[in-house]
Amino acid sequence: MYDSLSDVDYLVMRARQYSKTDQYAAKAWLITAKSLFPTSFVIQFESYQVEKAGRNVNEAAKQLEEMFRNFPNERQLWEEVQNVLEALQTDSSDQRQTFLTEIFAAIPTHIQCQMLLSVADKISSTLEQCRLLLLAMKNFPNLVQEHGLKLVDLLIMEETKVPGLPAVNCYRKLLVCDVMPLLLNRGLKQKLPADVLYSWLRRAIEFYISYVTQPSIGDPSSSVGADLLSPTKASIKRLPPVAGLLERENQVIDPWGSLFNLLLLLGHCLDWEFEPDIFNKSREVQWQYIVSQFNRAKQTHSDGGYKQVLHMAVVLFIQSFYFYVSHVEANIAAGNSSGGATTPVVLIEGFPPDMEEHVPHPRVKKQKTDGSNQPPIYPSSSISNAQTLVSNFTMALKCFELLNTREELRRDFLSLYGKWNKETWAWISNLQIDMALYQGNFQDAIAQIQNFLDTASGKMKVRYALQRACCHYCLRNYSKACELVLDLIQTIPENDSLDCEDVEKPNPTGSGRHLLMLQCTEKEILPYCIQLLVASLKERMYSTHCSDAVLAHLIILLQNDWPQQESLFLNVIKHIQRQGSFTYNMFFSYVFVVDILEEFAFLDTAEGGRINLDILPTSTKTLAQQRTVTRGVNKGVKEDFRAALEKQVGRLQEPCQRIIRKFLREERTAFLQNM
Amino acid sequence: MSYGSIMKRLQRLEFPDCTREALEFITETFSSQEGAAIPGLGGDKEPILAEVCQAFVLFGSKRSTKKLSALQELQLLQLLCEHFRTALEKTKYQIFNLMFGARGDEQANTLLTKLVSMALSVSCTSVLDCAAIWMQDRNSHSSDSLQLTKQLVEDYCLLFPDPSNMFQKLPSISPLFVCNFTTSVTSVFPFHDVESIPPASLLEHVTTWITSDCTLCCESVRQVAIHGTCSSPVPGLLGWCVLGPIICSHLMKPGSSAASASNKPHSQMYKPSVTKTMTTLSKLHLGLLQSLDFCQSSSLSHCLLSVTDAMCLVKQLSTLLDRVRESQSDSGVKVEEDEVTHITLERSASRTRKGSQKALASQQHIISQAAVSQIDNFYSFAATGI
Repeated sequence: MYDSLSDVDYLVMRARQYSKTDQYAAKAWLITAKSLFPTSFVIQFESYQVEKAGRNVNEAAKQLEEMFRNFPNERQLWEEVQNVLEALQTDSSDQRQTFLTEIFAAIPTHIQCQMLLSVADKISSTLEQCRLLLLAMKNFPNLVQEHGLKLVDLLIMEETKVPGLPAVNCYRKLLVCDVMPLLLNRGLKQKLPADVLYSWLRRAIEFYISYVTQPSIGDPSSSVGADLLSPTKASIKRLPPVAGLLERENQVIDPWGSLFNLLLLLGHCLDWEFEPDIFNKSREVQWQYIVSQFNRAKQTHSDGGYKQVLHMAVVLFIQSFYFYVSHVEANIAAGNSSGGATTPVVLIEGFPPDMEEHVPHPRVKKQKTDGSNQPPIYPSSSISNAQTLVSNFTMALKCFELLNTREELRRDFLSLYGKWNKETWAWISNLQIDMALYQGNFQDAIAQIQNFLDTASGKMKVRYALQRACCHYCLRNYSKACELVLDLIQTIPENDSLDCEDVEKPNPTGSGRHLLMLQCTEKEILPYCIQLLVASLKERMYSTHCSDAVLAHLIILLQNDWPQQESLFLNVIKHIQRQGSFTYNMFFSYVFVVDILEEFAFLDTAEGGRINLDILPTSTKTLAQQRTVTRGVNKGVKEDFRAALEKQVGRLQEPCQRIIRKFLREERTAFLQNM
Repeated sequence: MSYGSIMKRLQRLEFPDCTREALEFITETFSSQEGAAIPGLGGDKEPILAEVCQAFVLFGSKRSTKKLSALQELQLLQLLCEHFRTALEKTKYQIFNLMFGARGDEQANTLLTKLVSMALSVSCTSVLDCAAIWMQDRNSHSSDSLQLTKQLVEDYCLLFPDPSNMFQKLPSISPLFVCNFTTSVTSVFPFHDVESIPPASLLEHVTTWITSDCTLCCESVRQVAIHGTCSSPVPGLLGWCVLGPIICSHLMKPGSSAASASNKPHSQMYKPSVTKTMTTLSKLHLGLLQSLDFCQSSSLSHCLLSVTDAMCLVKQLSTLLDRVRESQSDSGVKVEEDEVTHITLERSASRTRKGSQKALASQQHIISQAAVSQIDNFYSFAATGI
């Protein structure tokens, strides 16, 4: 035994001596050695090493194959085979790795296949085993038949072994992104039972929804720049890697495309009817498709039909809501770390255009589910892809409605929904705020916003505040609404050059309810805030709680984009004329528009109704008391009033914006008291 | 067609036409009597054919009045190549044999040499295959074969020492020819002394052939069932690999060239070329081992290298070593040739006995420790091939 061992070593030693100086001699020695000791692994392995060192792909492959056949139990061989397989899985340009890949390629196919399977069989790590099986099936499609389902079971089992594992985990990723498409695309011949296919589909949906709604990893240094450069900021969202996976496996390219593809494949197995290319059609077409499928299912009472509608609607729902939320609430999508770098879009109730006659307040009503009389949404022209946003929003809304209200779908939907993780939930809640607002469920909307108040920051805070104010307004909770708006205005930095001219205001037509979609910029928000205050004051004016202060405040605010709301102003004047008197001593601090001043001068005349105006900084009453009660006392007062009016016209050049902001700041208490 | 009429007819024709007609006649005759007679002992037509061939193809008959000019001879060679290329497979060698089968016919042999040389340059597989069978029929070591080989080496290796393209791709044109030519070449240049060193470019070619295709060595052996005899290139090449390095290393030693002064042109080797030869031999050695390794499974492997061949080689080895030792008494080459002989014989005699393998290995171990690097090659053959 000892002798033979040392002989082998001697031969190997001789070969090695030559390995540097004479390749041929080295190989010759090894051939000799092999013929003397055909059962020696050491010699065979040495030959392999020599061929490898000489970079002879074919010879090395031949040696490896021979070893694989003759020495299936040698540890060293397995290590080498594993190295080769590892190289096969990495797409690196590393020279050593590519060489190993070439060696593998030079091995006959059936041996390659056996190698993969037997290594997979021997390996202890399940993940590694799954990878190898996957690799084997990718390269040898006929293995799918035998190993495909086994691998699926293995991955599912492994996933369930760890309790509380999030839906985005390495096993699920391999299952959903790699194994399922492979199995469904080719190979799998036997028909799988529907419930198995549905469970696959659920896993896939759960994975993708969790994947895309993951909070992205903070990269403050680069994210700002990237956001500025890229128009589709949500698409470059950096997602955290899935734990346990290698870098190359961690790329989920085009999650939506993959999910749709999987849905089509699974749907095909389930004999679903698809409209060709449905996922690239417009939202309208997609919705029509869902509705028609739903109606058909209803007619035939087919469980499968409902399931199809359910899954299609769920997938389209999450895609459209994902699109909407990621664009609307840019902060969530881009990751909270980027702060206020991006501007969210806010959906808010629009105000009906002012009519001569007061129109009743938009009634809070329970929204009907069918989409025919949904209020229109008028997006601001500064939002680039506004129409897509709106169509995605309504699509999400309609799908959600359908899924939530139809008894046939609701139970399944809730069970699906219940498994989604809390990040996804945050996304959906964001959508739900907008949905509630849109549907006029303001109470619900306020409750939803409440959840986000503590965590929101930057522009998102503005967004929530605005929506809350809007809801309170709609609930006729004017003082709360105004308080919120006043607080909000406080946070907006004063800017003299602010001009509203270049923002084209959405121009609603029709008298029904409508909504506005604005960008959360000062330029777009401030006018809305003032409009909300005006609208609240207007409501007040028409109510029994009207006071001179309310009228005065209204007049002051109407100056903002004078003469846009001149008709409302004239209503106010009518109101004053009806009263016969008007007292507001701060008048000259805040009123500066010539037209308005003239109107007041007119009120003072006989034609104007000789209204008893007490608007000088010092009350006329006090003044009268100070002066000796003689004839002509009123004359002096009159002159003061005229003088004050004239002086006020001289003040014109002061920026209107500044005066109004000063008013809101200094008269905040008085303002709120009168609400 | 009777003998008389064909002769008359042919005699009336001028050179290329008469030969073309003659070849057609011969071919037709062979194909018509297919299976009727054993070639060589063939029916009554055999003499007629031989006569026609002599007169109008070889132009060697005493009755022939025609003598060919050099240009016409070239035309004849072209005609023959073309004819063999298009002839039916089964009649090809019959015709070839009719033309060149006679032994000792100097004129026919000269023409054959020219024809083969031509066939090499135009890559004519049919002619080369026939020539290979011809060599095998009369043994590759026979004087006729050696004469042919020498001329070819002269034409293709010595005239232009640069590697010949035609030669390079020969294995793909006629492997059997390569095999028998190699056998013959090792006989012309046995490499057992300074005088018989093969020309460098020839060694290069042979090495390339052998290493590029490990089946080449058994080409002749595979024909054994058909042609009865065979001679394999293995013993000769084995001689090159075993004896070559000893001679080369001897040449490299200072003062050794004086001891074996020679006036043969290719033996005047100087150091760089000797080193190159050594490398080439090492490569050839590996190629040969691979060929043997490959052929091991074949049932004909015993034909590749016989015990007699091995014994012969041992004898040559010991003679050579004796001479080397004479010329250089202080030589570092301490060869224990007795051991070598012993091992070789043992290996040859009992190639199936497992025990001997171990014996060999341990003995080799001992010997090798004496640093006999030249002998290594021989050992490896002992282990693999025999």
